[in-house]
Amino acid sequence: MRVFICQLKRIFRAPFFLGLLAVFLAFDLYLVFSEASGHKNDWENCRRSVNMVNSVAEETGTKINSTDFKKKFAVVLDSHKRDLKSFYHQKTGKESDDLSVMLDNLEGNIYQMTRGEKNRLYDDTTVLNMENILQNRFGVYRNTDFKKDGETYIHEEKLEGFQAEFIRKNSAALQSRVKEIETDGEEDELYFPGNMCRTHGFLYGILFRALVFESALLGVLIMMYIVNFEFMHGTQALAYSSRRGRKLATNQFGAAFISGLLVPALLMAVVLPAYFALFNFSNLWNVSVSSPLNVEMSGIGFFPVITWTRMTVLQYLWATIGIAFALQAVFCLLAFAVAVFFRNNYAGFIIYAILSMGIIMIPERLPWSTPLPVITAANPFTAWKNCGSWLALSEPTLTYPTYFPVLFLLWGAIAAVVIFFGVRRFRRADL
Amino acid sequence: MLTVQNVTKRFGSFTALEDINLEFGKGVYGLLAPNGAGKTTLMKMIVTLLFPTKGRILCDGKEILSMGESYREKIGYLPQKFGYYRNDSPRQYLRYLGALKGLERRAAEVRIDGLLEKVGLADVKDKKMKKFSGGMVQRVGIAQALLGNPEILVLDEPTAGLDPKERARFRNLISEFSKDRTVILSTHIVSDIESVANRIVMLKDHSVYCDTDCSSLCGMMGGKVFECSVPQKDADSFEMSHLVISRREETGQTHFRFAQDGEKGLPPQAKPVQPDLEDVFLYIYRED
Repeated sequence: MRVFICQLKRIFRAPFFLGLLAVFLAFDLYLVFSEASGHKNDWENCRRSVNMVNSVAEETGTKINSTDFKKKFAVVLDSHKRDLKSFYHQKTGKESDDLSVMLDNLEGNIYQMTRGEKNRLYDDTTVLNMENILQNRFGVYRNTDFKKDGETYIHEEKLEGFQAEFIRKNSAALQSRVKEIETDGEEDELYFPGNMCRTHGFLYGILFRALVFESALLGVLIMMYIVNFEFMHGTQALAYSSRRGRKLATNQFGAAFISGLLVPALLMAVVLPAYFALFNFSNLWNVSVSSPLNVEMSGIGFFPVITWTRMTVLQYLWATIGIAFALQAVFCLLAFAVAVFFRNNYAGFIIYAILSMGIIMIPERLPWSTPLPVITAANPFTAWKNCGSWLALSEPTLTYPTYFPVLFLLWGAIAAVVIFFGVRRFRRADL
Repeated sequence: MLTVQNVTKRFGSFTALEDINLEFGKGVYGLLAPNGAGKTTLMKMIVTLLFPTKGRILCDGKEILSMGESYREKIGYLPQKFGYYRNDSPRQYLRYLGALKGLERRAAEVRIDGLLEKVGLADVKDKKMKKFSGGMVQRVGIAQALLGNPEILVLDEPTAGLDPKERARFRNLISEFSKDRTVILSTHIVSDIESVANRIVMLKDHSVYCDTDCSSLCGMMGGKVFECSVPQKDADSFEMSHLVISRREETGQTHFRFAQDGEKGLPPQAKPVQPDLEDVFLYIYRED
């Protein structure tokens, strides 16, 4: 235990660890705060939208198709319309019943408004936009036919055999999931409208992607640092001839692995509370993340979030955190595997970086005439790249319900085999 | 009892040691050989850092590789070159190595303080080692080798970097420590071995050349070591024609200590002298 604690101390006192952790925290907080404070694009407005939708949910509930919701939302909407009229009168001295005229005039004078006035206008606009979005929400799924899309893809890519069957099976599964969304009430649930707030895209596609990347980088560096620690300091002859001997590698692995898993915990413990303090989700934790409002612009079209099973916003967040930790474990295991073979931090890190880039590129370059693109796409590096669409509709090679179980089984096994042979080799290696 | 049995060590096509057979009982064993003869390789095999290509090493009849921790806990090892953690103090460094050696925390603290006292580092035990001289680091190395109170102490060039006073302190420490223990030490400073070693092991051509005590070894050279003075103008030709062990310039004369088999060609003024270990070393390794 003392040896293990000594290794932990070495990691937590390492300048690179403290330095990078500080840099990453600063960067993530910058992402959260800058995007929330309006330095970039429209994020101050976005934050107000999120908080406005959340406070509307408090008044109305989240079942958007229910009579109760409609009644309460009408009251909220009416209150904001009246507020807009009064604000319009206050700013222009005129009266109007035409919302678009009022909004056009007010937005034309937005640069002469105080911050409080801008916020008032923005809150009113958000509620008015919500009305439009709620009225048009069904279009997203009703116009979607994944089976047809799948057949088109099979035809265009000239797929047959396993691949065609793979696409067909998953398209059908997606289509039945859409049916489920339509029938089990998920379609009736309020969420932060994607085209207004980009909540899902920012939280999972930007913030979590950064968190997973930073955790992986720091985890890999920790693994390499601690596995090669004695070699870097020239103390290997003393350490490995001691009573503990080469079993020291076990303590080193344990300490580095736990530290590696602590990295995302530390980052998330600071960044996520900061994010959720700015973006209030309190009334929407229990709605389905596959709400028809959770649709964001992606490329040239709108991309809905359709999870494979019903998941609430809170469940999706926990699942994402869980996957982030599991990926971190795989990244750390792979780093250990590389480190035991290459007893040089620089060489090990470069090889790890080349491997990860290569593994990301492989699936895209393999012909669809074989099952290889699907198998090779189930890797932790591609999964990181796909952050934001985890457990949900994504690219064809990544869209199947067992993607993560396959990934963790496959890469857990690869890492275990490499580590087994690496450690066995190290135990019999001349030092 | 440590037994090296028919041990051969090869690194690719290079043979570092060939069919080594040695027995180490209680006492101090001096390992003498020129650079590259395989001393460090032998020591590293004894401390399980290297594995024999052929043969085996036994400790009290059991193969050391199968003994694992129960063997390594008997060993103290000072490598020829060893690193340290620059920001650690000697105490922190020894605490960590104490943990690796499986010492109980409190016992380790007492032992660390005692050893740092013995190696003359008590006043700097909490100073960072990055400020230490080579000799001070070497003394920390000696302290770590003794830390686990080992039954078998393996010291590779332990006096490198030590000043004469420290070398004397080290010799006394080893003499005191070696009672009922096995100490194997290699050094280029022949006088260190001469004063502390009970037995001398010499390696030549990757094999054991001799394994004997110091007086028998020096006895092998009896009647073969001479001293004489020659005029300085003849000194160079004398050196070319004799196996010179040492040369000293005096007024108008050059004083030589040299080795020679038989008396043929012996200068008339040459006087036989008592051989010492250095003479033996230089004589045996004259071609290396």
